[in-house]
Amino acid sequence: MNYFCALLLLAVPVSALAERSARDIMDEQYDRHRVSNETTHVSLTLIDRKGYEEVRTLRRLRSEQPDGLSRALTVFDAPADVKGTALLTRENKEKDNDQWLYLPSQRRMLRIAQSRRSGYFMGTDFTYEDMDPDNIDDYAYRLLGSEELDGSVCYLIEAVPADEKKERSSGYGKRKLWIRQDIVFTVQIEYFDRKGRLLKRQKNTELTNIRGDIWRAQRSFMDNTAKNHQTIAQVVQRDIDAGIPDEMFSERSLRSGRYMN
Amino acid sequence: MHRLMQWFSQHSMLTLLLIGLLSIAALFPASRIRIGSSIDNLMIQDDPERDYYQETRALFGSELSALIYIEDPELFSPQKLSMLQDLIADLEQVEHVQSSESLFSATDIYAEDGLFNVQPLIGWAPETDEQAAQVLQRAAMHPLLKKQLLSADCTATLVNLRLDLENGRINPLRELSRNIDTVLAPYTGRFSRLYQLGRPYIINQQSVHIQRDQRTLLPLATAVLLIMLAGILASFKGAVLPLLTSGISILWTFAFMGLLDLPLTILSFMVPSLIIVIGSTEDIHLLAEYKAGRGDGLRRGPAIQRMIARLAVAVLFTALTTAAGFLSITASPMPILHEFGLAASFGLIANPLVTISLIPACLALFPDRPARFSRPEKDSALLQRLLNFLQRCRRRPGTTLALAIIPCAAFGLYGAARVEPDNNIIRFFKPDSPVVLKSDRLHAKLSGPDSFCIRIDSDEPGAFKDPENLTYALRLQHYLKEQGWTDCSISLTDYLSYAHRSFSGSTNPLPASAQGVAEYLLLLHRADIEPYVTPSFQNLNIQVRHNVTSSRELLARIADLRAYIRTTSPANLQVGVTGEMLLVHKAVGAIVRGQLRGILIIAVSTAVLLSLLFRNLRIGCIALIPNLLPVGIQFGIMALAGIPLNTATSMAAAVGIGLAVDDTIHLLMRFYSQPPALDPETAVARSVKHTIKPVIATSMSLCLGFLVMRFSSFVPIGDFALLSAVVLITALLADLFVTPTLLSLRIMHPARRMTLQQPRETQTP
Repeated sequence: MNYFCALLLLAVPVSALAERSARDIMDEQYDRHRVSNETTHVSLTLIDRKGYEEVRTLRRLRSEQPDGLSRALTVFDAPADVKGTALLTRENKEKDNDQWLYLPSQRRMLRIAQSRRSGYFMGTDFTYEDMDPDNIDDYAYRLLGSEELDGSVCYLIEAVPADEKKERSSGYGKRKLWIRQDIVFTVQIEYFDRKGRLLKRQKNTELTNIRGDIWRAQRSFMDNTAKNHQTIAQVVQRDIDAGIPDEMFSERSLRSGRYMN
Repeated sequence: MHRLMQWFSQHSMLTLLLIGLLSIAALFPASRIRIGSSIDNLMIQDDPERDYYQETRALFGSELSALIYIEDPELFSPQKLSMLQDLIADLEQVEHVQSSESLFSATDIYAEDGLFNVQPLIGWAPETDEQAAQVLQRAAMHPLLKKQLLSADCTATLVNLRLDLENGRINPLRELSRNIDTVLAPYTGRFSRLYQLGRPYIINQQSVHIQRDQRTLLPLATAVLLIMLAGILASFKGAVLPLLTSGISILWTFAFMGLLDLPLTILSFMVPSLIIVIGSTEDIHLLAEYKAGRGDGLRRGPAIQRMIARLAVAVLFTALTTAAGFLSITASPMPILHEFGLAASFGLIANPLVTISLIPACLALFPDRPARFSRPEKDSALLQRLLNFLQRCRRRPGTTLALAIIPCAAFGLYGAARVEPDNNIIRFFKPDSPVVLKSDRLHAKLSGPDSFCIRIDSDEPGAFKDPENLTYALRLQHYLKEQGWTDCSISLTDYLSYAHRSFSGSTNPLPASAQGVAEYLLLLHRADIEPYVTPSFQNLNIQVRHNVTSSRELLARIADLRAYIRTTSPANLQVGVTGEMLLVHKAVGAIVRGQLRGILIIAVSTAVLLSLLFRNLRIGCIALIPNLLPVGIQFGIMALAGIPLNTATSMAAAVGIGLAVDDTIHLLMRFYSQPPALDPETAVARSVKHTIKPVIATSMSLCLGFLVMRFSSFVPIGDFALLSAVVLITALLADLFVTPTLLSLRIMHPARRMTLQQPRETQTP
């Protein structure tokens, strides 16, 4: 389960492990933590193999439409030379999601091809695929068992692409998810290639109860073992259900610069 | 010296016990000797440019990498790409492999049907021929792959494995190369060509060849020595003693190397063979003299005494001059030469010490066969004809000297002007060796294996997001392309240009604004551009690959590049050119200087030693002449045969003089020990007659011993061996023709009053 979606996932109380299927757990997680809209201000720290750190800040706006599909906008606020660079994502029901990249210097919307989304997003260790809202139906899940991680008992679930199309477009052969049983929230994900070799490991920490049963991770650490590079995403501010105008997710908003306000 | 040798012969048991104890003590440090085939030791030790290079490495990461070359006409078929992906994944699991650059790591940025793609060129190996054809089409158009990772015909590719090892760590590099071979083994035969290149491979191949040479050259040198000794001494038993002295000397030398942590390198692995070959000459002189004494009817004791009286001083001085030849090499600023000089000079000082102690002790202790030793010797007709011819030559000293000196000097000057210095590590291997053939293939299909980098620095953070500064880097790359001697260059500019042209469709290579640059940078993963720009964007690196193998040519090209940089670089940028192999090539200057310094040191020290020995400066200087003539011949032959001046061949002259002067000393000592009343020509004739056999025997055995090293796997060692043999043969001819002719000159006669202590009963007429 990807980082940004992991921040959105839901949790339900768990009874006996044996009585639940992996798909049930995934569905419950999704339902439990969903909100209608959410704005997060994130500080991204990129760490190279020598330990040099580069900090970028971004805003991520996400809104769920009445049809249940989501819209997301990621906007870079710093450093100054990339301020305003934005990625707009629209979830579609029956076809691939749409993604546009907006480059302020060119004042152009560039539509990103969805056939393969395994390219890295904006120099981070998250791929475009990781930035996309997950469709639970795109994956087949298998409950591998339970495992204790950092003092919490977790479900250990394996997710593999459900069909050939998804398999071709995905950068991963499989993922392993550690989902805390008490709050049904993903705390660790391991990404593997098709040969079963570990590519990346993501740890979600500083878990915060937003309200009711809704939880979020304030910090996500992605260790890209393949590239020997790391990204830390630290949430500095989060607004839940504060209302985001729909026009924020439009091309006109990007071209006019209103999305910057 | 006399007293010392006499003490050894009188206390033979104690002497053998002491040598035995010392040898046992040497076993432990000798076992610690290691193979050290490093690149660093081919550079100049205190070169300030090394600091700049180290700083560049710290900024952009180590350029240490292992290269995997894969060639197949069906490279872009689904099966081969799948195999390639598996192979790369297996290689990435090898310890010390930090990351890999390959077709599978390349980012593809392009626009198609209004959609923009920023994704790996090959996310997964294609499953159908159609998908494979699409990948091939994209790969063929990818500007960052061309010549770097993919051949123009798309049938050969390179996997660049970046390593987390330091250059100096030899054993892990060798182990890494072996581990890579293990990974490649199951894939061999599944591609038309599959092999590794790069630093770990070269280092491992050096070590393999060093060990192979040790296994073949040492026994061969020993066999040659054994045969020579058996022939000269007419006794296999007598031949054992020189082998014993050589063996003990080698053990002590290994102990010395172990204690000082001097590694076995492509030069110092010759030391044991040199000890066997060179060290045996004194043994031959001593044993031949002893044999002559026994032949004259002397009992063992008096024969040993005569041997000591006649040869003790000669042995001391010949050992000193030989060691001086090798010690002169330690003055080199190149660690490989310095370490070789230390090891060889120690070995060649240790060897005469063992010889002067062990031989008198053994001769005193173990009985020989008087019947065989006392056979009277007769000069052969051939030898008599040679002696007569030499005598005729001495009657016309002016002609003889002119015929010898003028052609040698002219030939030497011709050679010195034409000999080319070279320090290319690949060319250390034979032209038909796998290392050279693989490198040449890589160059033919992709780019040359050699590289250097152009580093551009700015004081201002973010300077290389400024299109103006990037344009300057691009200008340097264009300049290199126009010059035509480089295969390709790559930098951040290529990535930005690729993104800009794909996204904007512009014909301009770079975006107009810093903001445009920054936006494109967001499309690239930091790890992909890490070798080309520092995180602060203050330092830029242009990596250049080429296949210029000649040091002189490369240094001239680099000088031109630096001149261009000086005239074009903006005031706000500092530009430098550096690279590991560049530093190695740069060491040719040190090789040339070392050659001249070596010859000077050995010439001066030999002249001083000869002056001290004969208590006459004039004799010391004149006696040097016949030993300088071979140097001229050596340079002439190098020029004619196209042998470059390199780390190994640069030693031949100094080593040759050090060895050649031994025969001169024997001849001079024999001459100056003749009765003063004897007329000069008779004294010369007697001296030549008495020394000609051992002089020819030692020179021939030295030549054969050196020629054994001609079979070395390393070209410079083979060339060194050939040149040393040439120097020795020329020196022998000079000692037969020139030295006696010089001795017949009046100018050399005053010193004949010098007397050498000799026991009365062994005075020769």
